Amino acid sequence: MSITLISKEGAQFLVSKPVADRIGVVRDCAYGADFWLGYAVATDDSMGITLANVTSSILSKILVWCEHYKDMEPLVDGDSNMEFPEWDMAYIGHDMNQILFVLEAADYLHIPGLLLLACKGIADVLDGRNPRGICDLLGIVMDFSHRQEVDMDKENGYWRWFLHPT
Amino acid sequence: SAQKRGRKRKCPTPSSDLPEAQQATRPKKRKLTRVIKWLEETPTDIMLEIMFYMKPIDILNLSYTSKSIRASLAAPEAKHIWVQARMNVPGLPPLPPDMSEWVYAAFVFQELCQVCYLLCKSQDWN
Repeated sequence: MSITLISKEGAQFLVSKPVADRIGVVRDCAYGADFWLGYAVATDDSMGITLANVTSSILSKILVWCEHYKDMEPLVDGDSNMEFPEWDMAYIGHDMNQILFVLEAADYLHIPGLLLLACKGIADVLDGRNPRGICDLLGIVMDFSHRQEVDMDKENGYWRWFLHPT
Repeated sequence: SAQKRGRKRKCPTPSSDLPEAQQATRPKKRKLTRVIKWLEETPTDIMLEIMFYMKPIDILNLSYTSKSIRASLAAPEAKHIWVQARMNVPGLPPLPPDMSEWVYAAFVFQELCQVCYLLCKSQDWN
């Protein structure tokens, strides 16, 4: 049995059952009733499931991950020092906007493994950046008053380096 | 001396007449600015999950980005974030009792001289 997923733009993606099982929302839509009621709601394959908050490019990227993990179990919970597989880190990349879109979509679609991977990706991108770099990356507006800047300067002198990096 | 023109606006109750406690609680005027509150807009569980993988220096850098993030990370409720961040660095000595998490992270991880407050690239612990 295969399921048709419809993205925000209306593009259709045909996925098989093991791939669709990785997406929590789709699994509940298509097979959840099978478990609880004894019969499947989505018996008509041509109907499709509309995912209104996910664009085509992000959905195709997410389906690559689901395709890769259709046979094996992804990392869902564990130690923070545990390394993700190399394929995962290459998949998530270092593009912040892309990772944020994947994170948002993974939260919406209930994919815990991909959510953790996206969080790890963001933490890796933020690793080793100074405050101004983080602000540029995430679009944060600095709203410290002059008094607070002086306080922070007194605290550990970090602000001085931040304003005049040598 | 130039004489002031116009009628001087009178304060209905002079501040000197008010009791001290009331003076302290009088709200101050603040400039309203629109701020993108990234931390507030992101769900808390996702934010905690991101910080779960971060090192103390990254959380310290994050706290220098905006007021709201700084207030959230400096709060006593955020101690578990710092504790988890310390656990992400293998072999780090435990927190000394006379230092706060904030100061400890700055002391150990900032490449900054504690005497002249200048950036030092090389750290010679010996």
